[in-house]
Amino acid sequence: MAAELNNRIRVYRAEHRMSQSELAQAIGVSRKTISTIEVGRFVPSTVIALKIARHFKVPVENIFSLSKFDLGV
Amino acid sequence: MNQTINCAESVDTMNKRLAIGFLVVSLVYALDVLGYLINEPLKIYLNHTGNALAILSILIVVFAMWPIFSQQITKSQSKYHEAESFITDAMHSSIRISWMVTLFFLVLMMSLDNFREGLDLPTDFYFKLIFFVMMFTVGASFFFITRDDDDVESN
Repeated sequence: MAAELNNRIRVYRAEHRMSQSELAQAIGVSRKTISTIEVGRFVPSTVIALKIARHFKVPVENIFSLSKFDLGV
Repeated sequence: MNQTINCAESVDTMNKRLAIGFLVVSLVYALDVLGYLINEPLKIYLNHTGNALAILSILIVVFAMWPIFSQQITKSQSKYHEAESFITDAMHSSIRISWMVTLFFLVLMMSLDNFREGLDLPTDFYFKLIFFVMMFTVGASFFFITRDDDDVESN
């Protein structure tokens, strides 16, 4: 079973007052890609995860994390 | 490519149009298959409809691929060229599903060897049936995977 990837993109978008379209445009992906990452339907590549983190100027771990179950905690 | 247009959005649109193209092509094959099973007067209408759909499918594919062609012709390069997206991933998954379904269908056809001989249909019929299954599965599974059930633009 694939590990569940939690993300806080919506929180960071809200803090930066950005829409999904604006974030998508900023990192060069489609809006659908951002919306499906947010709801956990699509697991992004490391490249996209790093681009999102770089855009918000935070470490990638601040945005993406594995669920406690997948970490074996 | 226009700088204000996101390249990833263009690729997504291309994939969606290609999926529509797959469904139209599958319809062309379905009508061809049906043509073997019905009588002459209705067969003529099916042929005409099939020809019209074949032209439509070519137009859809050209229309879908046009952004890529124009980019090649003008040698323009978008600022961003991120190949990965949910829609591209969905297209790859649909092609994988189609491959599995087609393989299963071929095995099923082989196992029904005696039944097939009893029907006395030409080999063309089975080829077209297989193409129908292949194309339809790509298009249908793509639209199933990308269905909008939780897709909302939010700030």
